[in-house]
Amino acid sequence: MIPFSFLTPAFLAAAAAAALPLVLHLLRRHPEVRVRFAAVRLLKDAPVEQRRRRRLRELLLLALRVAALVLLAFAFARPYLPGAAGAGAAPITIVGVDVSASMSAPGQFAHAQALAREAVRNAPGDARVGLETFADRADLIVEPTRDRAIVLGAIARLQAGVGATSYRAALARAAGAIGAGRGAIVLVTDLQRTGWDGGGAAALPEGVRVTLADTGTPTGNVAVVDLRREEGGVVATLRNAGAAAASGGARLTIDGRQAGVQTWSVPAGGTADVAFAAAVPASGAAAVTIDDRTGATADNTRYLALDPPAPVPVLVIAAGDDALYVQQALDAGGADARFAVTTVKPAVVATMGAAGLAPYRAAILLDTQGLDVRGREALAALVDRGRGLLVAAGPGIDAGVLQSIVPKGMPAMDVTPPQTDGPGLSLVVADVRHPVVASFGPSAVSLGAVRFRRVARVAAPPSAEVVAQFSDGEPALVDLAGPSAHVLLFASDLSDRWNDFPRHPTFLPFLQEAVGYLVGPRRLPGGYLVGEVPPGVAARPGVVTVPAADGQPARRVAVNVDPREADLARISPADFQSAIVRLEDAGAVEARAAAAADENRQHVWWYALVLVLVVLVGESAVARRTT
Amino acid sequence: MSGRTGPGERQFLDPSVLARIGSLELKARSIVEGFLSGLHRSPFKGFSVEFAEYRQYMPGDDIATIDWKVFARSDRYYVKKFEEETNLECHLLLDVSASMAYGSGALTKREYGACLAASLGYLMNRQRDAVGLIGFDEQVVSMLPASARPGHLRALLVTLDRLPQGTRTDVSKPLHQLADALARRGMIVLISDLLDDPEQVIKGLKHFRFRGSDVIVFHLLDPDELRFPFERATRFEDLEDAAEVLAVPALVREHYLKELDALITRYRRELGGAGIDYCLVDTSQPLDFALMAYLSSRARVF
Repeated sequence: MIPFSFLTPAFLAAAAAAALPLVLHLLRRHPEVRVRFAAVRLLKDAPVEQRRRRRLRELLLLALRVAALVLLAFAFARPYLPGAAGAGAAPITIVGVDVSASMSAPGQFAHAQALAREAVRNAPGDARVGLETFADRADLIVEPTRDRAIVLGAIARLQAGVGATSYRAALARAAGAIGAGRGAIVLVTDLQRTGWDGGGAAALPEGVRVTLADTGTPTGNVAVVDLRREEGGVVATLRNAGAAAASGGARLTIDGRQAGVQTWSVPAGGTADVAFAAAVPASGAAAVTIDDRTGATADNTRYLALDPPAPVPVLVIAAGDDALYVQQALDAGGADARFAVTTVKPAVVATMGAAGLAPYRAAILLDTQGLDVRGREALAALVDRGRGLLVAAGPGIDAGVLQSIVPKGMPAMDVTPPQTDGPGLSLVVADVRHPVVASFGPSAVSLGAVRFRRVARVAAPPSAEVVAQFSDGEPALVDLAGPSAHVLLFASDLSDRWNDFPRHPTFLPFLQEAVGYLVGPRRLPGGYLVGEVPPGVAARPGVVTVPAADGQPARRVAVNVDPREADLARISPADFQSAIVRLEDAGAVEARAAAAADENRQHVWWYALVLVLVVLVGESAVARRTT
Repeated sequence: MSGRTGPGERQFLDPSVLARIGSLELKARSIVEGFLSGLHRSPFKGFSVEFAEYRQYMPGDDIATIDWKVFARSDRYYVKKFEEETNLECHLLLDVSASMAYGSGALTKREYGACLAASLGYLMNRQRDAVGLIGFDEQVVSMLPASARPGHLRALLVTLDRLPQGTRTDVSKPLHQLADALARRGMIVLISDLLDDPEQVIKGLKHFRFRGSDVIVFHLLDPDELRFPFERATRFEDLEDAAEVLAVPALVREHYLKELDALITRYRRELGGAGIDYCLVDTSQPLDFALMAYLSSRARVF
């Protein structure tokens, strides 16, 4: 059996050309010329050929020519050795058990375990069987093995989880376990339709069969899908995914102590809010739990972190009172302010150094007087670490100093200061989709009310994006995007010296949005879904503490079950299989890509061509002695 | 001898041209007349004293040849023409063995040898030398006694035409026989490819020298035999026996040419040492080379 597979097997047909030398050989079975010669006696002692030797040489020549052609066809067919899990390996059956939150209905997971055991027992006798569990992610619990007792034992220890269903993750992990060989995937699941939500393609190799073992769904399910603080207490939103109205009781606990009890009633397929009137502390952990005896239990409780979100530290570098308006605009909101603003003089930046700047998520540069080389380097390093920088090219900015602040991968900030006052200019938004101005929506035209008496000229490099421009067409706000951060360059000041921008209502939202854009997400999230927790946070429902990292303080957040898991809508097995068909096509592409990668790595064709060369050299040597 | 043929005559003597001439006599005449007309001065002048005819004096004739008696009688100048006559008895020994049937060009060695023999016969007969012809392979197969009669040339040409195809070569055996049989001293011209045991051949020829005869050997070889130009693997079948040799020419060429060179060198050295003129003739070359060799040899005799 040939151990090779081929990327372009059609070229093997060219091996038929090997018949050519055979035919030629047969047509020229007496290739030697016969000459009646007078001086044969002078040849008798010459190193003449023996007939048998010549025949052998001819056969060798024929073999070499045939070999050269066959090897050439072989090389062009791009051969490669398939991996150990290739076609020749024993088939693999992966039993995938859905452990998402929707499987936590009473009795449902036991049914799933029974189906999984049945799948293991029904696997082909020569197959190796593996076990995976899947929800948001898929884990291979038992590597494919012939010892089915191990698999059965692992199934007995399984429990329903709290994650959301992702069939793509399940199929991708199972396909990875099967590799390029033959195999089957048995998914034990409740066929929840939301399991196909979300992006990301799953791919299955061709020849992998997918079988569904349907656990069924409970007749009803009521879930707490939202919990929020409101005036005078907290409000929970319940959703009834069942076909019948449901009612029951609900309990509010704050920091583990019961703080309220309510009853609820939700119509079939509807939602209802349940309000708890209670004294809610400024910080702590709240949870609402409902009684739902028919549906999944994992979605019966929802958690809320009562701690206010921590403001984002922002550094303003300014001399004198240039930072007044900026600081006021960013401090807006009082205790709920998004940003914690710190103002320093330019000369202080050097003493802070890179370490001192590290906690700040963004910096606003209004003055450069006194900003020495170390200060500039510290600012550049800040941007290199992914932090944002807003430069207001007002009277306090020295163009030369600004040009020497060059973060990695960013163009230099080329600014020409104005000499005199010019005609009054206004702002025109150039890209309404840019995050800095997107929230203005149609109100962006109100930015045009600002009057600029004096503006700097900013040279926008080709890679930069002009967010807004002045009415004379010159760039007003330029976004210099770097590898990991953004620098916004504003071509005037933010201190009411060259323009009246700080006295306009648009100043505050503009500055909030601009700095918000530079620091990243609007605010640090106060809660996560189980499948989206950041590193270091346990993926289980509850109020947990996210450790301090990357300049951010430690904070408490709520981790909840994905509300989509409360949805009992099912996908039919036929629709599921039709989705698999599409995945099979993608799998074929992946299999070909994997084959191409194998072939590319092994370079068997290269060795074949070298062999062709060797054979041709040999053929040439033998031919010279034969013809 | 500085006489050579001009371009026109030379073309006439070319073997490829001769091959298109059907009559051996015409071939011989063409060769000899063409050859002689290129000579500046006849080497035969003054050999004969036998009167042939008178001819009217033409400017340029030697005035010593003017017959003054006839002038006295007729008041006209006549010159006397004399028949050139010698008492040389020459035997042409032509190898007719099967190996002489080989030829890669216009003429086989046998045909070339026949042309050469006819030309020599014509030349000898023209100068009244007695010429005979002996064909042989491993034995004498045909023999025409030497004679100087004017009509003898025709007999010689007919004999040449009718020489049978021989079989194996054994030059030495007929040579010894003829050396004993031809008691009278004279000239022996051997025309053969000499593809035989060189020692025996040389012995046979020395036998003639022992008898006092002058011997000239024309060693005829085809260009293929001289250069071995074959390229592809070839099965060489001997013309005289059933021997076969399958060879790749590229591999055996060097050996063959070395063997041939050794053979030629040996003939040239040993025959030269014995006072025998040896002339290697390429059958693709015009015959005047061979005739020149003969005349050189004859001039030395007389």
